[in-house]
Amino acid sequence: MLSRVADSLYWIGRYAERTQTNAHILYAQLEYMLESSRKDVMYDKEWVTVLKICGYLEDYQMYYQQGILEDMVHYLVYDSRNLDSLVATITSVRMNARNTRDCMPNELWEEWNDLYLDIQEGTYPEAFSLLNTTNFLTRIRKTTLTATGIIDSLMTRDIGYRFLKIGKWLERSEKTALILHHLLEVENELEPDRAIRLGLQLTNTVEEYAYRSRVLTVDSVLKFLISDLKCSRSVAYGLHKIKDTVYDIEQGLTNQNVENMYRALDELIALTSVDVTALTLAEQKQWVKNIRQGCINFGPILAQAYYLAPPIMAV
Amino acid sequence: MLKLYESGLFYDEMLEGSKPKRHYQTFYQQLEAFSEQQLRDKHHAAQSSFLRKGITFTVYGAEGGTERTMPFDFIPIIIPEDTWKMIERGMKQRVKALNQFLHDVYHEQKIVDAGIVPKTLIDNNPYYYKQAIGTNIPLQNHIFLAGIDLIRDENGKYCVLEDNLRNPSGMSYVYQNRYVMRKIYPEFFDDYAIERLEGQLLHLQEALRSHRPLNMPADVEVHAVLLTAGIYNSAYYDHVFLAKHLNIPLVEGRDLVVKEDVVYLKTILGLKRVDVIYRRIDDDFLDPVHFREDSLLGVPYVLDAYKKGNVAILNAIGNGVADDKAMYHYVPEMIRFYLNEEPIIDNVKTYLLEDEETREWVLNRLDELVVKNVGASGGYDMLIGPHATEEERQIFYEKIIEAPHQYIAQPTIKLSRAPAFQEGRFYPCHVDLRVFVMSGEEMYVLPGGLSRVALKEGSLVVNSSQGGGGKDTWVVKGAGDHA
Repeated sequence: MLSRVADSLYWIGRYAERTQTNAHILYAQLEYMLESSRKDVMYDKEWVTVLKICGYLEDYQMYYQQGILEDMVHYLVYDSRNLDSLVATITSVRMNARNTRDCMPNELWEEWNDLYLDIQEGTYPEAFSLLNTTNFLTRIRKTTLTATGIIDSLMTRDIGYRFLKIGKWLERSEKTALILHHLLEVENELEPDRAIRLGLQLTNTVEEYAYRSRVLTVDSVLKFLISDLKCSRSVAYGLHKIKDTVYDIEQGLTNQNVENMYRALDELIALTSVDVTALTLAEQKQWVKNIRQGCINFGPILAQAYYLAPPIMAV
Repeated sequence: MLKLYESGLFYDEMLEGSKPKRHYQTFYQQLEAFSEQQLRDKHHAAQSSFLRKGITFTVYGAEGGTERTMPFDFIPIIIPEDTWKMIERGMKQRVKALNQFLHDVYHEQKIVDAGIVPKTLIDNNPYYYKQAIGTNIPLQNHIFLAGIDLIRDENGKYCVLEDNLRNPSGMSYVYQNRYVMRKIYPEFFDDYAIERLEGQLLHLQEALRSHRPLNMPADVEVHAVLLTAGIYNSAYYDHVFLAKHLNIPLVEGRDLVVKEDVVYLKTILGLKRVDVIYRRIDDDFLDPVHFREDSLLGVPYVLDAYKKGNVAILNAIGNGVADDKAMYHYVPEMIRFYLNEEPIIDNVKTYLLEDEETREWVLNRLDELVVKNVGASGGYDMLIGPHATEEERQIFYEKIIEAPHQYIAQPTIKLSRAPAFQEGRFYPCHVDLRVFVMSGEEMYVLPGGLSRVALKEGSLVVNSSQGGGGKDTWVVKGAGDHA
């Protein structure tokens, strides 16, 4: 497989996952906030955390004066200056899909192209209204889920498929670590238990967690979202999937860059299996931070192992 | 019933007066069964299908969205089998002669010695690449894929308007037009036996793989790629389509590297040898070391690999010398010279403007003639005298005086017309036909080709970049010529 094509597929995996997660986070937060007053101090705190998770706080503050809900939603959904806004990530998926059309099912390209064209044609107006925005988010979630279904049911299990999946899992692991990192930072400022509940909510694992555990503590939620190999959104689950996949691609062949990648992956996986209950809260914060940094560092190491070139960005 | 029109002074593909020709009668009967609203709905569905599938082309410098679809018109151009057989023979003959000419101009130049083509016309041609002189290429075949544009005059006689021997685009539209026609207008196929398009791409695949580089051992499998300029190129969809159907990787210049005169593909598991490059970028951009050094699209030193016989480049480098609008004038002579045959399909009368007398004659008749830049395509830098303003004619007057070798003139032909259905009504539009000729060890002609239609009423320009659209083209088996 061409390195450039593998790279584009990897970024389709990443941007598609980012789109899905950010759409879910915004949807969940908009719904939760219905019952809060905009004057509530927690209201602002949570939105700032959401901004940090789905975008860039400093970036936001450069363009907008205050934390006004309409502005924050606009920044996270429509603002093309924000490279992680939903419209920007959808455009990036579509651009990279256009670049790799010969290596993917037509249906997959058409699904993303459809959403992109609807946005271009103004089907989802930028002016904020709860109903319009949630409609748009629902459409985005449907597209991302349909796209996942198309990939799983129609795509050949070749190297391209594997790179798409590597992108998805790395994005997911990094995002889970990012969510936990920011929530732990404000853990003592939010209402009791709110940070860990929010962690489950934003990672879309409330039901899965309730099914698996009856206690709700920082330790148990961290263990679930970082180390639990049965939780498909845990950091460790994603990393293990990546490991299986790269071994599959390499099939025993190796070189220095690939060795470096294996080492980095093993170290990161080892880090996720630390016993969280033995750590203080301060240590837990540092631990989550290190895991997140490890995920960030892993992208370039992977790129080096497979001669990946930079992706196409939304412009 | 829907109202058509009178064919009038022009040759009409479908109508004789206001009645359909025999080979259109079944189609016409089907047409009568539809209401205007039904046709509008189908039209909308067809257009939207192109957009949703991303079958678009890019308009350079266009404002707003630059990705556009080619407007589709559902009334097909129907060609009876015997007419088609004549076109097919004519196309093969022409491409064969053009290929021999290309081989000749880069080797002995016998045609110059014979006094048929002036040497200056070759030497001054910007597309004559000295870098390609003396290069031996696989099968001595310069033209892997040609797109020959045909028109019909007021008597229905086919003429060649233009040869495209560099990177003719549009083959994907032939397939997509048929696809949309089958999906959205299935009723119209009733009772027609049409040459199928399936399987034709196997000929293209076979032709591609038959260009085995001279140094390549016979028992090794050929690895081919399609080299594109990328997603912003106007014909990107064409590239995607062909790469997918030829089952070869679609690559950009940055995906290839040349080491010791061998071309390699950069894959995730290291470098992999490439034997055939079907390139869809122009010669100028192919190799920044030997051609334009500012090219970001090309592959440094690919020309060295080509000249050493380690890689085949299709179409060959330097084909532009044979398809510019001045050299076009000499193609009938080429057919006589190389093949010792009379041209089956004629050229449109063409005036070269370097001769003072001819130039004067042309300059006095700019309001009657069409003037074209010899190196331009896509309908750019062109004057259609009868439709132009005095000011536009004056501009071309000056252009011709300044660079007479850069322009040719042709009579304004009463291009044939065919009905189009747009905006809820039928009206006559000028059409032409791009025929695709595929050559390797064997030569094949894609049945039908791309019918292009000037949808702007009265316009003569069929290019998609200038508001032209496409129609499906049917070669009807067993049907005689009732045209």
